[in-house]
Amino acid sequence: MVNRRDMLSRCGLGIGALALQDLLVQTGQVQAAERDSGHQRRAGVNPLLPRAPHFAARAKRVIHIFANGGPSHVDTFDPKPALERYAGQPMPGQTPKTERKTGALYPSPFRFRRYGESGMEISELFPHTAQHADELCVIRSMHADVPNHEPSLLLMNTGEARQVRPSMGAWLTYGLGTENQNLPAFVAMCPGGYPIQESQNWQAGFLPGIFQGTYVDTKHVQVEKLIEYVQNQRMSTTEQRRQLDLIQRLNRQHQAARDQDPQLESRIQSFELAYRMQSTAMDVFDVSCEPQYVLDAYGPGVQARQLLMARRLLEHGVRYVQVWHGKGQPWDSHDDLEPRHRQLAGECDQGIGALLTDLKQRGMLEDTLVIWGGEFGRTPTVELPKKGSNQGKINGRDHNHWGFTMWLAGGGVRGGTVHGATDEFGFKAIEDRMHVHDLHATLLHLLGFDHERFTYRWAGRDYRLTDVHGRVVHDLLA
Amino acid sequence: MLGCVTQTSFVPLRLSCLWASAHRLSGCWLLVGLLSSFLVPGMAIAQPDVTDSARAAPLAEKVDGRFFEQQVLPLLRQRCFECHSHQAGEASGGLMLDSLAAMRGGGSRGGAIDDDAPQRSWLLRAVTYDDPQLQMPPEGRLKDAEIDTLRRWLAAGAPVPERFRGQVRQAATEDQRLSLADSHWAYQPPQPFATPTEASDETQKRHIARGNDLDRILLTQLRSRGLAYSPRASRAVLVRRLYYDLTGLPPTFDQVRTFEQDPREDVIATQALVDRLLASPRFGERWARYWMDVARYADNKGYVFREDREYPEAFKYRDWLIRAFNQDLPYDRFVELQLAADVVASDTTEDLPALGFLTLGRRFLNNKFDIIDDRLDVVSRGLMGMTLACARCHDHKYDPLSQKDYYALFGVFLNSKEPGGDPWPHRLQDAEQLQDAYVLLRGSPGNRGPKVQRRFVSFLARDEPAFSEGSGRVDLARRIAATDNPLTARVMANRVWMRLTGQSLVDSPSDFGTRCPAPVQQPLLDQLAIELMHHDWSLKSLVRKIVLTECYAQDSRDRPAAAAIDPVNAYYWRMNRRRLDFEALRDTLLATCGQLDSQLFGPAEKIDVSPFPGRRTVYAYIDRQNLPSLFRTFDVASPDTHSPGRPQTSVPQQGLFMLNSEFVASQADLLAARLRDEAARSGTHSAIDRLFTSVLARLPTPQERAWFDDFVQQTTAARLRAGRHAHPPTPPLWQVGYAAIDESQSGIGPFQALPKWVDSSWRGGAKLPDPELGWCFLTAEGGHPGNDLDHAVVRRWTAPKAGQVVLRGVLKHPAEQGDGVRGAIVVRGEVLRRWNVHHGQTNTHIKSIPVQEGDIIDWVADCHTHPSHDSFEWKVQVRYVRPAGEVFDSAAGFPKRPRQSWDVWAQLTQALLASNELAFVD
Repeated sequence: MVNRRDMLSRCGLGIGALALQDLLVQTGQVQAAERDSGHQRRAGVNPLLPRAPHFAARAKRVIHIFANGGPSHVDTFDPKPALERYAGQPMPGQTPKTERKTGALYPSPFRFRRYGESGMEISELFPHTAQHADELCVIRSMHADVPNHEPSLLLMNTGEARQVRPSMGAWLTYGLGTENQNLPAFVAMCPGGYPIQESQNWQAGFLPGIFQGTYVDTKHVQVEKLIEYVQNQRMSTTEQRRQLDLIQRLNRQHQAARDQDPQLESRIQSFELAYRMQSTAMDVFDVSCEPQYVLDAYGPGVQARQLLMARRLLEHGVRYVQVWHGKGQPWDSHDDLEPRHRQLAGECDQGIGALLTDLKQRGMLEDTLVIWGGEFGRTPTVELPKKGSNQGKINGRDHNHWGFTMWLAGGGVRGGTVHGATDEFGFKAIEDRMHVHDLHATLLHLLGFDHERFTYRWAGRDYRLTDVHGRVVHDLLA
Repeated sequence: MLGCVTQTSFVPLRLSCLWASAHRLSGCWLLVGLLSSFLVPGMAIAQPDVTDSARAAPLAEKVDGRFFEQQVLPLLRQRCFECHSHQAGEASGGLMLDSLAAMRGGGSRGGAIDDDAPQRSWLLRAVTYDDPQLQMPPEGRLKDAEIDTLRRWLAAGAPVPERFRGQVRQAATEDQRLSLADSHWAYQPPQPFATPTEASDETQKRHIARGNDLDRILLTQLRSRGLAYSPRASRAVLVRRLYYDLTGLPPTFDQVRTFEQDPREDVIATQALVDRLLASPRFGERWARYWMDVARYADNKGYVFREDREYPEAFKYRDWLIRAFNQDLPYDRFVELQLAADVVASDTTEDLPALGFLTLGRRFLNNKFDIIDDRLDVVSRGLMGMTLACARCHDHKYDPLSQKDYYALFGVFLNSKEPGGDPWPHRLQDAEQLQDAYVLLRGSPGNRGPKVQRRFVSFLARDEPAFSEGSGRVDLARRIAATDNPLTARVMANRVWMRLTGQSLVDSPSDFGTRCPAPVQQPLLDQLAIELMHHDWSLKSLVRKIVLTECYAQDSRDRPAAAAIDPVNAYYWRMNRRRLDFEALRDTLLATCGQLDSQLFGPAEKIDVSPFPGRRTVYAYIDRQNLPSLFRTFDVASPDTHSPGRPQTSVPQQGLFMLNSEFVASQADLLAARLRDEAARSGTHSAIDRLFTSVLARLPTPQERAWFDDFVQQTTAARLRAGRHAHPPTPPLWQVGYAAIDESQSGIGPFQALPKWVDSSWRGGAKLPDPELGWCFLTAEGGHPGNDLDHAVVRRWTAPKAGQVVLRGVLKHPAEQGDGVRGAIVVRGEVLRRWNVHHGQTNTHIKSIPVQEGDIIDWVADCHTHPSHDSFEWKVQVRYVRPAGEVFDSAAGFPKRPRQSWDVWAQLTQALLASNELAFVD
C-alpha cells in the first residue's frame, strides 16, 4: 500500500532519479566511502540515495526541537514540591558545582497540573504541549558532563564535547540517505542567526561535506531567501528548461563518446534533480499555502512558522530537521527566569502542540521521532548576583548538567511515561540515570541502527556517534 | 544573559576508540587490551578463587599472599567486585579490581595502587572518604578495621598470590611492538624494483621506450593480469589533462592548437609542454592548494567565544607554500622549514610563515592539550601516514605506537611557544625553560603517569638518544625528513601520484599503519619514493617523471574486457576520468569568461559574496568555523583537521549553483557581452565559434553549431511573438524607483525605476554603493535611501480602480547611529504627511482617502542630512474600504525579477559552463 507520504516523496523524486538509483545499484556504486576519503574509486555518485539501516526502524525521520540555552526542568517537566517547603533555605548537603555560584533553593513560580490518562505533571508554561502528555516520554534523569554551553551543545549534537565529530543529523543522513532528492536531507533552522558553536552544531565533521546540515534562517519570509541558489533571477522556468535541454543534449553527446560512464550519468541526473528542487523547495518551504485553520492552529510568530515549515519538510521526505529557538542562547535565564521562561515557552508551546496534533492527524507521528530539550537544565537553587553576568538580580537559575529533562514523542517511543528521576530538589539525576550517550544510543536504535556497529573509518579508527559509550534504554521503547 | 567563558578544564577527555565493548568487559584493558588482536593465547587474567576465603584470620599476622586471600580478597569481593570485576562484567570508571595488574593499570583516575607511596593509593583514598570527590563504595564507608586491613596490605607492597597477579606485560609489549614494526610493509625501507624480464612484445617495448622505468613496473604488473595499456590519448585530451594537473587552469584554444600542431614527435612535444607548465607560477598555486588540504589550512581559528577569531597573517603561509612549490624547494627542506623554520631557516623573515603548518589549526577554545594533539596529528598523519593521535589515551590498538611515543612528541610542542607579534604573529619559538611531558593516563590532564623524554617514535628510532636541540622540533623534522624514514617519502609520493591520476595507491593515504594492507602497486610506490629521495627530494622531478609515463598519457575510455578483469583500474589499464575539483572549476569559469586575475599572493578574499573577486580560488578566505556551504557542496576539504583526500560527489546543490548562482551568471554576462559584439559584427555562427573556443578550447561540431543556432533563433522568435501578442502595457501595481526630493514644491521630482535586480533587491548596480545611485536600494520589506536628497527611494502604487482606500504601514529605523531617515507619503504628486525616524519606529497610517483609477501613491524615504546607518524597514498596505475588501500588500506585490529575459548569449555561455565536458577531464 502506498500512503500519502510515499506518494509525495515518490512523485517528488521523479522517474529520472529512480532510474538513476537503479543504474547505480546495478553498477554497484551505491556505497558510502567507508575508507579514508582519499579513496576515490567510487567517485561522482550521489551519496544521499536512500539506504536501509541495520534492522527495521521504528522511526524514519526526526525533528529535534532544540531549546538552546538550557530550559529549566524544575519549571517545566520535573515538578519539585520540596522546593516550596525549603524555599529560601540552603540545599541540605553539598551543592554540586555548576558554572556560577548559586544560593538557596528557589521554588518554581509556575504551577504544575496533571494531564492525560497518564496523569503526567507539566507546568503551566506548556499547556498546549501538555495536551499530548500521553504521547510524551519524559526523561527526567538526563545528565551531561559539564555546566558550560559550548561543550554541552557539542556533546548533545555530536557526542563529543570538543573535538571535531559529525553531528547526529549528519550520521543519520550518512546512514540512511534521504527520501526526497529534491530537498536537502538535513535541515537546521534557527531564526535570526546561529546558536553558539554556530554551524558546528550541525557539522559533517569528518564525513563528506554533503552530510552537513543545511542552515535556514527562518526569520526570512521570502522563500528564495531561505535556500541558496534555489531560484533563477534571470530566466523564466520555460526558458531555463530550454537551456537545460540544451545542456543535457551536449552532455548526452559527450557521454555517448565515453561509454556511458556512470559518473557522467550521475552529473546529468544531478542537474535534473536541481531543476526539480527549485520548484519543490519553493513549494515546501512556503508555509503561506497552508490552509488558514492550520496556520491558526500553529499560531503567530517565527516559532510557529518554523515548526510548520519543519512539518512540511518532514512530510516531503526530509530526514532530519533541527529547529532551534533562536540566535545565541535564548533559554539561558540566569535572571528574570519567570518572565523570560514565560515568554520563551509562550513563543513555542502552541506551535509544538499543533505540530504533535498535526503529525498525528497525518499519520506521521508513528514513524517520526520528536525530540525536545536543551543542552542541559537549570539549578533548583537561585543564582547569586555577579557583576557582568546577571545584572545583579536574584531571580534566575544557573546551568545544570547534573540532572535535566528531555522528552521524546512519536516513532517507537513509549508515550505517557516518565523515565528516571532527579533528587528531591531536582539537582542531580539519581534514578535510571541517562547520559547523553545513552540518549544517542537509544535514538539510533529507534532509527534502526546498532550504535556500536554504526561506524565510519577515519584517521585509522572506526568512529561512532556514541564513541565508546552509550546503552540503549529499552524502557523508553513502545 | 550572554554565556560565560568556558573553563575547559571541566571537560574530561573522553576515551575515543573503537573497541568499545572490549573496554567495558576486559577490565585492565590498557594492559591486556593492548595489541589483543595478536595476543589471544594466554590472555586470560587469573580468576581468583574466592569460594573458600571467608575464614576468619588472626590479627597481626604476616602480610603476604595468604593475608591477601584471607583478609583483603573477601573484602574486595563483598564490597567492590559488584562494580569492578569481570565476574560482574562491570568496570565503573574504567577500573577493575580483580587482579593486581588491573589495580595497577587503574581506571579513569590512573592506577589504583601507587607503589611509590602506598598510602596515597587511590584505592585507599577512596575508601577513607577523605576526598569529597571520590568516596567508595558509594553505599557506605567501610569499617575502620577494614580500611586498616587495606592500608596494611598496601603498606606491605600489595603482596598477592600468583594467581591474582594478572598479566603485567609492559616488557613483552615493547617486544611485540617492535616485532610488529619488523613485519609491516610500510615500515620497511622502499625496495628498488628488480629489473624485470624484457618486454614480451613490440607494443610493450614501444611503451617503455617512450615512457620511463615507471612504465616498466606498471607493465610488468599489467602483464601478470593479462592486461595492457590503453592507446595513447589524443593530443587535445592530453594537453587539457596536463594543464589542469600542473596549473589547475584550462588551456586556451590557441594553446591547444599549438600543442596539436607541434610537428615534433609526441614524446618530445609533451616533454617541452610539461617543462613549460612546471615553470609556470600557476604550478605553485595549484599544488599549494593540495598541500593546504594536508595542512588543514584556514584563515581563522574556529570557535573561540569572544576572542578575535582571525589569523590575520595566515595568508603568508599560503604564499610561502606557493613560492616553495614554484621554486621546487626540496621536500625534506620543505618539511624542516614547516616544523622548525625559526631555527633552521637561513632567511627567517622569508621562511618563518612556513610554521603556519603547525600553528594555523583549530583553537579548541584554547585548550592546550587539544591544540598540541591537533599539531601532532597534522605532523604524524600528514607527513608520515601515522595515526599517532590514537595513542593519546592509551597505546595504539594496532600500530607499534605507545602512549609514551605520543607524550615524547607532545613534549616537543609543549616546549614550543607562540610569541606573537613581529616578524610573523603565528610563528613558534622554543621555550626558555625546557621541560619533559608526563604521560597523561587516559589522556586526562589530571592524571599524570611517568615523565618521558622528548624523542622520536621508538620503533623508528631504536636505541637513539633523546632529542637534544631545544624543544626538539629540529630533531623531529630531521627524523621525519630522513632518507631512512620508510614512511615520509612513500606518503608524499603517494599523494603526488593520487593528485595526478585521481587514485591513491594505498587505500588510506594518511594511514600507512598495520591495518593498511600492502598495495597492489607497492613496487611502483616504492620506486616513486626512491625517485623522490634520489632526486634531492625534488617534487617537480617526481611530477615530471609521472606525467611523462605512457601510463599517464593513456586514453581514459572504458574497455569492457579489461574492466572485467580489473574493475577498479588498480593496474592502470587506462587513465581515470576526473571531475574538476572546486578550485579548478571556479578558476576555469573565471579564466574562460575573462575575469581571472593573475596576481600572485596576497590577503585572502571572500569569494562567495558579491562583488565576486576574480582571484584564483587558492586565495579564497577559508572560514574554519562556518565554511560557506558552497565549499562543502563541492567537496572542498574541511579545514577542521588534516584531510587525506577529497570525496567526489555529484549532488543537486552543485547543479543549483551552476544554474542559478549570481557568480556563474556574472561570468556568463561577461563573455556574453563580447559574443554579442561578435554576432553583430560577424554573424551568429562566428559568435558560436567564439563561445566554444573560449569555453571549451575547441570549435563546435556542425551538429553543435546547429543546436546553438536554433537556440538563438527560437529565443529571438519567442520574444518577438511575446512582443506582438502582448496587451497594451498596464502599469504594474507596485514599482520601485528613486526620485529627487523637491523641498520647495513639497513633492518629488521625476520617478525613475531602480535598474538592477541583485540579491533580492532593486538597486543601481551589482556593487553597493553604486557609482551613480549610491546606496539606493529597495527590498520587499525595506531598503536604504541614496546618498543625498536627489536620491530618495520610492515605492510606488498605482490604483487599479476608483474608490476609497486606507493606507497602513510601520516605518522602522533600527540603527542607533546616524541621523535616521525621513519618510513621506506622496499622493498624486503632493506630500500628504512626513515622518522622521531614528532608532525607533512610527506608524504611517493614513485614514480613508479617495482615489481614481491610475492615481499614484508614493512612499518616499530619504537620508535626512547624511546617509550613514540608514537601512530601514517599511512594509505598507493599501486597503479598499469602498468597494470594501481588496488589499494590496507591498511585500507580496514587490516586483521580484526583471521582466526582460536574460540575454540569449549569456544563456548559451552558461549552458557551456555547466556542461559535463567542462566539468570533467578525460
